Amino acid sequence: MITLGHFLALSAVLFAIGLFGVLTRRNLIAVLMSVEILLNAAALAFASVAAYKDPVFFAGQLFALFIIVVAAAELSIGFAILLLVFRHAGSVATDVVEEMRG
Amino acid sequence: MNTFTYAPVAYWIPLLPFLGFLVLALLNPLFKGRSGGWFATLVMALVAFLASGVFLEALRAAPHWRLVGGEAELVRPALSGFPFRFEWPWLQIHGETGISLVVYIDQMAAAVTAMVAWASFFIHLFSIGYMDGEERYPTFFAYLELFTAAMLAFVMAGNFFHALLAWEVMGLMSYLLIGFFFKKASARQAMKKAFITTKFADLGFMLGLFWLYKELGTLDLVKVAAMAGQLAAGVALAIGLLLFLAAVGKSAQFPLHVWLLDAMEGPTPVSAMIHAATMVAAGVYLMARFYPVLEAGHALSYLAWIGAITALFAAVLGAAFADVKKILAWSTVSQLGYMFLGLGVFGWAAALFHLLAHAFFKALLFLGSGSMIHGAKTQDIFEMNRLARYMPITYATFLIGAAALMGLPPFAGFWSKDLILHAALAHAPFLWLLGITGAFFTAFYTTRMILIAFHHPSLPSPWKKAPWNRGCPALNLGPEDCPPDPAPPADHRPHESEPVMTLALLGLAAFSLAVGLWGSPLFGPGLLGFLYEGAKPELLPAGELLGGYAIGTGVALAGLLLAVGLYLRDPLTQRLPDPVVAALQRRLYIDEFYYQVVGRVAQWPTELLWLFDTYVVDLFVDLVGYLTYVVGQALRGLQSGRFATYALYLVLGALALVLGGVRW
Amino acid sequence: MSAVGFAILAGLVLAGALVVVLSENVVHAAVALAFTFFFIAGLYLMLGSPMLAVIQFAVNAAAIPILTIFIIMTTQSRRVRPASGALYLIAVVLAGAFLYGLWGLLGAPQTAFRPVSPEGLGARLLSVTLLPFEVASVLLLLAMVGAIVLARRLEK
Repeated sequence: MITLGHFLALSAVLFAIGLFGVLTRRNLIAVLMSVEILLNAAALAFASVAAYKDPVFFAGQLFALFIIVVAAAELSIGFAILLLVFRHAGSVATDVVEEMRG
Repeated sequence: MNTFTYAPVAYWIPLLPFLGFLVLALLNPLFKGRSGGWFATLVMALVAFLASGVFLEALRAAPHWRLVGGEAELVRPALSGFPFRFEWPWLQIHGETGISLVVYIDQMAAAVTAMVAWASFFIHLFSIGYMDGEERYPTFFAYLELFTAAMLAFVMAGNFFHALLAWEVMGLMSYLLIGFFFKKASARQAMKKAFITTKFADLGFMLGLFWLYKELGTLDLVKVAAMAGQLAAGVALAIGLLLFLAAVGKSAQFPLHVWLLDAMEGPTPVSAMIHAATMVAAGVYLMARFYPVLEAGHALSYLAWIGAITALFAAVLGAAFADVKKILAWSTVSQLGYMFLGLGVFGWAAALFHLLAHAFFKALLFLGSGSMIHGAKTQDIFEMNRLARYMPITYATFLIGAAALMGLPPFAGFWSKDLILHAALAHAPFLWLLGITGAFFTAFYTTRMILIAFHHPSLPSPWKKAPWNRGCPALNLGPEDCPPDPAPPADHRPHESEPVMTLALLGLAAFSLAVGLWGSPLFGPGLLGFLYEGAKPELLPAGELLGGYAIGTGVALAGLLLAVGLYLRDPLTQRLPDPVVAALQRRLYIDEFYYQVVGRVAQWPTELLWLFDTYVVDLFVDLVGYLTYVVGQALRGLQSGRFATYALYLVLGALALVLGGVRW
Repeated sequence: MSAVGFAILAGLVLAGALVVVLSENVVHAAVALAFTFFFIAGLYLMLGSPMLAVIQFAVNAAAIPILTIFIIMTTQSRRVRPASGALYLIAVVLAGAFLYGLWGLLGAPQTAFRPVSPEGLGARLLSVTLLPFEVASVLLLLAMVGAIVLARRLEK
């Protein structure tokens, strides 16, 4: 029998993988993809908790929906900034963005 | 039937000029030409209307003495609800009422409110013409509005704490208006002198209130009056003297009178409004409000002594001055002294009557002097050129004010000053002697001023020639910082002032006459029967009163005749030896004493405090800055500017939250 | 619910995610991302929420990888230089620590679950979360406008 724990464990592992990607990738596009994985891991956790524990409002599932919406918005803005960086520096490697100092 | 009543909307009386101030201050650049003045005057007309409504209502509702069949009889109207009192909770701590917002209108407040509103209205009206063409014209009216608001709030305050707030706002506006012409060094110095002197006195107000609150647990003036008897005599005396200190400062009584003379640096309407009619009388008003505590502490004799000394001393010095505004300023100091004397010898109602009468006739005299200055282009009475010939309305109204000041029957000052002296004779004959001598000098300097300014042609001013008057020694300024005002050409032809100004003069003259007659015993108990219900007012023909009137008139006439004899023919001859004149004209060197001795003595603790500030306070401040710098230096390496580093910090922060979630 | 099905789906999701974060070719990573999201949609079906599965499929498994590939083509950056060994080590340690932390948060086993019909989800979306729903639409509009403003070429 599959329990809530299984889903949450899967989501945790997925999250760890995404985190690993965010930290190690040296390409901004790849970093954004890793961030997508992070967001999906969180959405999965929300949806599964809702299915198991909240049979009335499904608040977690609604959360998952909103996470998808916000992820889409984040990605479009992220890619727009990435295009700017590319035009500015001619590359999308993370080390071109090293002037983020106040 | 419901009729409109004014008392419940009485809080609009101080609120309206405050709103007027806000409008004038915030929309300042929109008021072109004279519009700011007209706007402010319109607001004051509304306020005067409201205040009159409240006053007439109080007149109907208050218990008062009335003439019934030739005898005074106390009438208590069935209409209750008097004194009017409106309360809003304010400054509550845990639901307990700490200090409420109270509007309290008894007979005294109603009368003084009406007086302030009307005097302020006429002074506003006068200023429209007087201030014409000055820089910052709307700002001047904004200041006047805020001052009036504070004064009205002070008068109607039902709580000593509010009285203190309004009192401080008045002090601020006095400061700002004295320094209205702040481009002059003397005006700047004068505003500081006024502020510091009154501020020192205000310490007494605050300390007295703290102490009072500690003893009684309330600052509501009705409760304080009821509970004053519970105070230990010593405590009541100390509190009373602390508040008296504040009154001495605000009302420019000896020895804190020094600021009022220099306050004449302000525009003349300000001198009329703040430094003659209203604010300086606030000290007297405060003492009248505080009467139960003063009585409980037997502090009244201090008031009487200070008042009598000031009344005489200022009247003598007034005879030595040449600046018309300064003569009037001395006269204000002296008349305020009479009010304190009146309070001190249990002539409570007489002192208040004098306050009301003096407000009108002194505002009239000051505005008259403004009109004179406007026409003659000088403040020195010697340099004024036969003003009686050129300024008939100013002259006539000035004479009415002067007669009231001198105490000639049937003008206002005659009735009020005589009542005070009457009370003094009953309780302290020596103080009566001081007072009556002061009255002699009052008549003397007033006549001298009128003769020289209105009847003599333009003369070279002996004041400016005297070597001891070079610079402004009273302001601690040398001749280069305080040059004498240029004299107008000898053939300068003065002109009568424009209608708004003469209208204000006529209005004040009418009020002055009316208040005097209403307060006189000629028509029954009148104003005094309204102001004071505690004792039966004396009626004519009482033998003692008539004797007092005879002496008063005689003394005033003597002073008048002496001045006529000395100055009618030959105003320029100096009849006293130089050192005496120098001492009088330099105000008995009291100001210099303050600058040289008090100023120096105050220097030592100040320097100690400076050391403390530099080496202790600054040390802490520097330490804070240094610590910030060190921590910043240590942490600046974290800001690499690299994307990956920031992502790492983000993850570390999130990790801390998650691991923290495991532990707790 | 079949444990075997869950195991297969979970394995595919994790494998796809690993390809996304490890592949040196970004195009491969993008395709793997599409597959990962597709299998997550399968997991949503297992959770009894077809609505969520469809949205996951349409938005995350289709639109986002396609957009990603567009960007890859625009920027002509197919390859990723691998990170240093030290960074890998740090990342593994941190991810492990996270996993450990999250593991501690797993609650007691819970078996019963309730499927969600699309109607039910939609009704709640437009009642309980009506305000966030509207705010989200504004957010999307803002993102659209923002992306256009940021990415357009400035004419000189």
